[in-house]
Amino acid sequence: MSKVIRREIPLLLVSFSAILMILDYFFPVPVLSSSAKLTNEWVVVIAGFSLCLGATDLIIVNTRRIMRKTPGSGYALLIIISFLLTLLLGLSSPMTKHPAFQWIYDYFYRPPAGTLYGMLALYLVSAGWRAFKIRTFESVIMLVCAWFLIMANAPIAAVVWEGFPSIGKWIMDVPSAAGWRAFYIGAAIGTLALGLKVILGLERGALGE
Amino acid sequence: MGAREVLRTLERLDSRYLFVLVFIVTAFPLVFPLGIPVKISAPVQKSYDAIEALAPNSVVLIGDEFSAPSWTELGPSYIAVLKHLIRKNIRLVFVSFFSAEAPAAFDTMIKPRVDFAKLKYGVDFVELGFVAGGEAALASFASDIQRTLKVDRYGASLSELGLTKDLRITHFSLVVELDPGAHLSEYLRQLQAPYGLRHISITYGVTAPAYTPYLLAGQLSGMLVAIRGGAEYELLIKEPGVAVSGVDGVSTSHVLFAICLVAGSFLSLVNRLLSKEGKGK
Repeated sequence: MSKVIRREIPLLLVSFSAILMILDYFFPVPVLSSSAKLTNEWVVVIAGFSLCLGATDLIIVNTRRIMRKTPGSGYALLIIISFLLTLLLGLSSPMTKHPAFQWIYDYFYRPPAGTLYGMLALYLVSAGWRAFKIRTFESVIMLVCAWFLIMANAPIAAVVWEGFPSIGKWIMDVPSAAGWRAFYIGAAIGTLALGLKVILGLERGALGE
Repeated sequence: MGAREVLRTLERLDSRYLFVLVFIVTAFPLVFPLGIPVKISAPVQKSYDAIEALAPNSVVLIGDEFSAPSWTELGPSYIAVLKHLIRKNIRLVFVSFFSAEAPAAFDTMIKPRVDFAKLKYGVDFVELGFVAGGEAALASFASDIQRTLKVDRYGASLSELGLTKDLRITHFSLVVELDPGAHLSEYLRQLQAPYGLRHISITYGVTAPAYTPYLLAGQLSGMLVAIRGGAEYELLIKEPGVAVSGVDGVSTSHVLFAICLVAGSFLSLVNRLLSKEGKGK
């Protein structure tokens, strides 16, 4: 019985939903489209609940860390306090527009979030200097392409030489686009194959097997 | 110290010197603007033309997947496009499917910089907020807006708001999507392939090569890439703002990166050749 509940029923649900969605996409039959619509609405509701589940899990995991006094349990306490505080202020009227909530967003969340992204520029330059090495013919091609693309994106380069944007655009539109198309088509075929395996019950990764 | 030692030391240069250099090179043009001319690229011009061609009172869906880290790359373009849409008397519907923080980011970073005061909520624009469920939610929204969402983000019933009362996905003339680099295909699959909606993407510089095939295929009606795209758009709508003032920094930092890339590779090559020569002796 437990095998049926844990494996067979979820597999049946997955296969049924997948087939329903595929049929609805290709065949405009009213029964199919209303069933697909209903299934999609269920997903929205389930996804909403999964957010609550995630929040509950966050509290449980961090409470356990505090109670066991594991190293870094102070941070766990900080997570719980900030989570509950932000949640309460976010739900306070007017929802998500409470001045205290916006203050937290503006002064606690935004600066580190922006800084982390901004730091990428530092590491890019450092990687360009220290990590990128030309050892093979392919790496020379990569260096030349990267160089022209970088220059094409710098408005100052067009002032120096009109050719930079043209060469950069050609690299983007021809070799790079060709590579990306190959990637997309390959990924699409792979997704089809994976989808078939899921529908047929051969792929059970989602069930934790 | 001999020439070889100098070259080796330079190759293994402490990253912190480079970090200081990046800071100086980026900050300098912010303090002393260089005024480098910005040429309008074809994808930005196409985006502008697509919005310019919209009839007044058209409805545009804003796929707001914006977040705080996206500010530098997407923020200026977002603001410039919204200013243009509002100037054209276009009605706007904001919704997020992938970024839960987008409504909060919109409140604090975008809304204060765009003149929403003259617009009437519920008639000229509606904020639907975040809808959980990713692509399935997007598909559900496309098939029936009122069944997927009963209320807007403030709790007002969609059936009571003039703009959303009878709104269908086919009523949208255009989709403008704030894309932090991952969700274009979902939007195109669920909105363009079945309903033929035109799509403009505002995206990161690093994502632009991945989205170029969509642009070349005509699936994208336009694309604004990073702060440079924002600067070009600000110039097109003749309202220079934060992007135009920051684009000089883009120039100088890109040139520094290009120099570092070549210099680092050159140093490594020379050092390798010299060490081989040393072993030969």
